[in-house]
Amino acid sequence: MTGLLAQQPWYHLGQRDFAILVPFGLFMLGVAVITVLSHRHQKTGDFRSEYYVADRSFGTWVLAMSWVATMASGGSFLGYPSLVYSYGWSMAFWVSGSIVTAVVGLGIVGKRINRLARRTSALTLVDLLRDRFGSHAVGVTYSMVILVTTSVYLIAQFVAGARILENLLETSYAMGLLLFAVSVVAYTTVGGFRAVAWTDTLQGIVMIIGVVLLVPLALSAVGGLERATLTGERSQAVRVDPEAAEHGVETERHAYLYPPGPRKHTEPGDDRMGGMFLPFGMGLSLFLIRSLGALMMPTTVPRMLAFRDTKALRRALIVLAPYFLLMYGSSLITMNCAHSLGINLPPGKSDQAMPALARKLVELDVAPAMLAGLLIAAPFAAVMSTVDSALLVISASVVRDLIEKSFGVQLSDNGVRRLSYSVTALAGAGVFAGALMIEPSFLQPLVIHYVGGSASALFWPGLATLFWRRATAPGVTTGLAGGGVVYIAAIFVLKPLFDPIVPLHAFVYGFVGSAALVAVVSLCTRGQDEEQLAPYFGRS
Amino acid sequence: MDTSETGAVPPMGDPESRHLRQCLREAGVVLGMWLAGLAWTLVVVIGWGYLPVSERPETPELIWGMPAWVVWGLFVPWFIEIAAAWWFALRVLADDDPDQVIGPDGEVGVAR
Repeated sequence: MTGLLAQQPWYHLGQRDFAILVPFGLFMLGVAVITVLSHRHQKTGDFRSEYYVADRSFGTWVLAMSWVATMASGGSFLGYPSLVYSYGWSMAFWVSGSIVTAVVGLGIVGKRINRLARRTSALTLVDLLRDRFGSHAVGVTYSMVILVTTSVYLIAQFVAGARILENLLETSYAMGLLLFAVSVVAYTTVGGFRAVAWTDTLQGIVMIIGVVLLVPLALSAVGGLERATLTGERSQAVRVDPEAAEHGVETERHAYLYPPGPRKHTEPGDDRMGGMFLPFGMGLSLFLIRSLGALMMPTTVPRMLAFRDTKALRRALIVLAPYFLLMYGSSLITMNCAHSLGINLPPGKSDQAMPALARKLVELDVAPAMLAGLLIAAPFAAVMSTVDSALLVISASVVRDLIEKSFGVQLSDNGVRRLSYSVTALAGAGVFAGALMIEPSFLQPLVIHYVGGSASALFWPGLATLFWRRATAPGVTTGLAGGGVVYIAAIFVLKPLFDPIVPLHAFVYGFVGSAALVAVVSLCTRGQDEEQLAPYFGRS
Repeated sequence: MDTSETGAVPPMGDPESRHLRQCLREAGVVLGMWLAGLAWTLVVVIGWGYLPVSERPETPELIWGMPAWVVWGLFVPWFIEIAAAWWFALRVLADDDPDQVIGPDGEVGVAR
């Protein structure tokens, strides 16, 4: 296919299989209809409240599905399957923190953020922080952290979306990227938060149907999970990584069945052949990131400001509790079957493992052809739902948090409307250019850096603002900036120093550093007056 | 669902203090669930997962086709945590007091 594509112009679309194009086209049509319906809501009422928090009207399903669809990015549907494909059952430990993601992400801060946002009419979390401390420094620092982390994340997601379209439509990477950017930026810009939430709901449902359907199909094709794990000719028990073998690196006995997994290139392009991917300290770090990272993630927090009441939160939690098990458990099972089905992707191409499995099942006549379109639409839906939320986060940070609140620019409703549309579109165009120039070779490490980096900086300042009377503006500002700085320092300085003793992810250093800074600086600076605290904490 | 069904903090003090106390109580329960999940996973993964190559059994123990450490270290605690999350949602997470908006001059209105 690559050879043929090389002879075609960059805008050529080679896909002619209607079994793939029809389900994908129907999905895109659904997104377009939702966008038009959402746009109608903006013509009545307060534009700001409608565009950024959908008038705080989310019920159970929209809250649950939009939260999980935003959490689950291309990393969950391309990146994690790629890692299971590469490292086998050892990756079960990698995802174990997800067992409590939903209850931690919604149960600790959901009700508190929603209540305070309603009482103070906050439209973003930055509104809340700034208003509690009466400090522009807090607002600007928080906005800058969000802008930096979310932009990096968006580039990775744009690349993932482009790769899926490149594969699906049999076109060039540039054409895939252009189509992805135009479609997502258009519906996010026009539809605002309501379109994002409603399309997320559609996408969340498509995602889970797609990934769960693969389980019985893959098991049936491979002849049972035991065969894939232990007894087949290409089973995980006897698997040898061809690239490792080429470099003379021995595959240890049952390396694909136990952590730390097989020794190989830990990332494509890594020149340390024979590296260990998941030493115990790194597995523990991943548990912490996956379980705590959701709490203050910039893309998921806006949902906490937008749900209707506690009943919606309660029911959303009931819906979401099993969602992650279905999502990651399914990937763990299906991707451990992939090798037994003869899927042999070249090094550096393992991000294609999920679509490759879908096509293989159709090729083996195990799945109907029409299903391949749905199965390929699932990771695309995951990427879209993350990108749309991230674009709106950037728009809210620039228009609401920086221009309106921090710099005090007075804008009319129409002014805010035009500026919000422009910033959302410009952010999309900027990320498009970034993804065209910087094409990361592997998706998942960037996703983990986004979650780890943003949690390092935002977790403790956010929690302290919501729950700690003694927190101060200098403490929170230092924790925000310091968490980010320590995270970066950990990558370049601390990890090379301490990894030989205990290999930990940079998140652990940033997380601990930020906590210490928030606590120490707050206690060393003057606390807020009782009058300032009363609206948030009541009378002591 | 009224607060007595969910085990909420009984009314005492002003609404914001009550809300904060209830949120802290709920956060404490979630923290307990998080610690339990972490402890369970680590015990199983250290004990059965990170085995030196020489100690790995010739024929690894499987449950439903998966290595036993995966079932006991990932899927079993996951099912328990799902049940605990449902219990938390139905029995611990209490409904909030009706909301009010605080205006810029401290006046009170209806929340949207």
